[in-house]
Amino acid sequence: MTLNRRTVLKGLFGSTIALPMLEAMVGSRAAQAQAASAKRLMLVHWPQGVPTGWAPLSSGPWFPAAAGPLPATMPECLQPLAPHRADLNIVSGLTYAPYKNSFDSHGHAIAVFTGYAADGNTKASRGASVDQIAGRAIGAATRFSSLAAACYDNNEGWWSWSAPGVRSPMELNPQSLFNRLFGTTSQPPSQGEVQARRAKSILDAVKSEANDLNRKLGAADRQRLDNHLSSIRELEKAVATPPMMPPGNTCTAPANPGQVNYGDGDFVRYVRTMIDVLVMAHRCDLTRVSLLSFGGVWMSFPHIGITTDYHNVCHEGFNDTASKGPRLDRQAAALAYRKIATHFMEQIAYYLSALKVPDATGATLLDSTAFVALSEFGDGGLHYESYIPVIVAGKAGKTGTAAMATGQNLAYPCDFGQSFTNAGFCAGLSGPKNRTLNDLWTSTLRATGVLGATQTFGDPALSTQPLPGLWT
Amino acid sequence: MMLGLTVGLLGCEGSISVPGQRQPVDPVGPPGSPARSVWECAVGKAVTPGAAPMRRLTHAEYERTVRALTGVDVSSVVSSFPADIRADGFDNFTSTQSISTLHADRYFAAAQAVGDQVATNAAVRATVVGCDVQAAASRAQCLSDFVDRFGRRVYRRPLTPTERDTFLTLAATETDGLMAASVVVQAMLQSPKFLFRPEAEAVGGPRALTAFEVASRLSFFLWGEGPDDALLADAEMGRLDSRDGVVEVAREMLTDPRARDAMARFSEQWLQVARLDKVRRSAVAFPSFGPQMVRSMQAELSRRTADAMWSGRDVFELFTSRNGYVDGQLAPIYGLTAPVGSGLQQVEVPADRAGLLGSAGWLAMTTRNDATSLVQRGAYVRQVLLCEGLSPPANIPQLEAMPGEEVADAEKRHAADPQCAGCHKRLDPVGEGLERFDALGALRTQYASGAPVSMHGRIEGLMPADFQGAAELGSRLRDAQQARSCFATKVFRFAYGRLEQPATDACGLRQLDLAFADAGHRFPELLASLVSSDAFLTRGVEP
Repeated sequence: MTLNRRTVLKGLFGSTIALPMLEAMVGSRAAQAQAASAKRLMLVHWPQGVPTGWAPLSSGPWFPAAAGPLPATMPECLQPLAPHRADLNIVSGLTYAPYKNSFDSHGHAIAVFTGYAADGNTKASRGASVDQIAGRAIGAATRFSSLAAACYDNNEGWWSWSAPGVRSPMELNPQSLFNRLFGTTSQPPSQGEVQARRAKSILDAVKSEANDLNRKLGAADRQRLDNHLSSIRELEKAVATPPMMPPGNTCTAPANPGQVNYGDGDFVRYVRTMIDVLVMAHRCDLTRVSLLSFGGVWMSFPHIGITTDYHNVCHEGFNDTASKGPRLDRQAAALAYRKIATHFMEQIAYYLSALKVPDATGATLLDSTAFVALSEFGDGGLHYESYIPVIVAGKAGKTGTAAMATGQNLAYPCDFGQSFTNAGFCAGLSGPKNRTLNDLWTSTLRATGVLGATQTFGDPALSTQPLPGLWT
Repeated sequence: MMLGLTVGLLGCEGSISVPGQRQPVDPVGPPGSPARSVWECAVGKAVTPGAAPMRRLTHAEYERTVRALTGVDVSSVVSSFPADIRADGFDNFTSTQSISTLHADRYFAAAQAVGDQVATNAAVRATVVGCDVQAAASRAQCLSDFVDRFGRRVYRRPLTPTERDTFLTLAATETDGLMAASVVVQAMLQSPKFLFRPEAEAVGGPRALTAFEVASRLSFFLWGEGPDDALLADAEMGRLDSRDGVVEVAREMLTDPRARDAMARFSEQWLQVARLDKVRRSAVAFPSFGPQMVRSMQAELSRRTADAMWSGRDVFELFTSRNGYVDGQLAPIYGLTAPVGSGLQQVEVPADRAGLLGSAGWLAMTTRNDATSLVQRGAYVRQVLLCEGLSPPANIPQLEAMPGEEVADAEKRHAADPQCAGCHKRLDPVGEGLERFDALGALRTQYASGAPVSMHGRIEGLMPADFQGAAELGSRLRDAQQARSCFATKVFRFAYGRLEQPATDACGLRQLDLAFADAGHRFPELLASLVSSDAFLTRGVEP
């Protein structure tokens, strides 16, 4: 069977050839080799931290008590990750306090993925986010430089920024994400060819109009137009770039998820559909960088027996200082917070399992990937920007002893002056204290080839060195 | 002290200066300082227009404009667009607008949906193309006419020769006439000249907008969509070349149903009624609460606001009127018997809950969970109705109980902390006066504990500050210049898609206040003043 490289066109047109045909369409040998050795970055965010500081129950239920090897019995909230215990590290003792900006009680979280204090006037970032920077550096060869998805409530789009102050919105609908990547129906390849040519002509005319407009605008408006133009170029790339599948790949279309509503009871199906589609996008080398957010502060979890919203759960006893009338029971709220944190870990476990499925050569996506999952808070109820919970996994393309040692609580010295029921991991360690998320990103982006050996991520005044032991 | 003295002096000087006379050398500091703006703006003085960054169509504007242009309903595609970000409640701030890759993907899909209709649906083709594009004999002429005519609607002005060429060249890439028209429509609908509202840069000094640019500003502001053929014809025939002409056209536009729709979207965003979508209630404490009740509450707020805006009287009757609407869902909350018939019925609400602040929807949307919150109700009044900024101080102490300390005690410590007390004393006493209304807005005279509920409140900064209950707070707001200026400021923000900048906008806002007062605070007059202001009709040099 001969297929033109442009026949693989998908949801851009709302329709495409059936995915199994992809297997007949591998790129050049060089491209295959490149795809096989490509490093990948997968980011996961879950909202509102983990219980650490206020739990009336004894001991922090998420962080392991001490630095070093993870305990044989994982802490309560980490138990869903027990099957992956040997393949991941917990990272403890990180903060972004030096570059938070409390323009409101949550928005400083914009700093998490951007590495700069947010602009309090515009409530926007002062830097581009990790996923966007990585996409530009290592995603140029793929159809989608990066992909970002979020579950319904994405906190006004705080996570992904293509440039300072320029949001990069995330896909909120699993069906839309699926359609964009894999299409909905099958049609003859010749039809795809015609549509690809037509799309190219249309986009050429659009670009020509953009260039014409560009000449008439002032500098600030030209900047805005540039954002539009680069988005058009990304669309063109999706039209024109052939997939480059690694040899022995296991790229097959995931089942069409149909419409998945973010109905409260559907959260698990919703988030797992997002995971399935994103993992397959990597497997098919449609992208090499992805970001998935599990949601935001106004989520609710009736399907695990929690009837009040997540915000209220986190803040039980602390918010609405002058409230009168009924309160939640504090003990019940504390247990609910643990249950929700555990529930998020179940989804991360599902994600890691999907990355461990070997292809025909025995390789897994985890081998080539740097996987980082974290939250924007330490303790969400207290709005802590320290004790950020982080999970890392993957070999980032290294093998043997060169790859990151896993199964550890990678703890870094810390002293945040914030109460913590069980922060033993901070004490008794030598080295600089209170390492920042910027250092986490510097390590991660160097390991994936996004940054060079001397480059750092984020605000240069706040970025120092990579974290020892992380992907080294 | 110093400031007060300066204002006094200037008030004097300002009152004796008349246009044409030499102005005294400005002794009052930087342009835009409050003292200076009062002095400068007392007379109908020319105002330098503020920043006018290029605006992108909001999704609501896009959907309506596409429907008006083509007759095609793209709402299902638009629902998959990445949501417009809200700033100060509004969906149209340029600072939040970009065209990301995801936007571009969705604009492509929407344009394709329209393009498919052009190719396959004769009725759509008649609207969009309007001539026989299939027959070989008429095709070239038809395409040329169509590009001119449809392009003018899409770009809100006649096309330039270069633009014509671009689209005719694109049309020539298709062998089939239907597809030629289809691809042209798709490209036009993805052009930044359509998706944005570009205005040519002002060089060297402020310039008057072209009549077509004025038509666009008027149309998107007053109608929430692009100009129609009639408005473009008005622009072409010179009706928008004078201030009087603009006012005349604007008044005609305000009688159109599109104006009602657009201003309903303004008022929903001003009042932030979408907050009701995030309200949660426990089924045990509030079994009647649910999505249907939320819809009724939103509908009532919308009806009350529309009445106040279009009554021909003072729009601030919204804060005091006993005009309400109830259905079976809402009647019990107001202590009224459910009306006969379906849907909302107009009623007179009890006197102690007159006005917006006594409405079920307002009281519910300022209460996130089962317990009423003094802070949230107080913060709403301060931020939305009085335009006060309430940014928390840079380093809020963590609110947490010390070992062995009760949470309630930690809260008291927090409110007593000098850093926190400054805000809380402006917030909490406002909410205190509204405590007679529970989380759904129903009257209560005692808490579950049996303790009586006070209706005494205090709103620092208004005169007199003490009040009893929602109705009295409403009349206090109606009479407060701060609340009136705040409302005008909100309309200004919605009109320009940005926050006001003291350096450039203080004067224009001051003039708006004065005109609004002269017109008895009638809403349509505020709109007419705004669209005929210097700032609306001119474009400044980019800062």
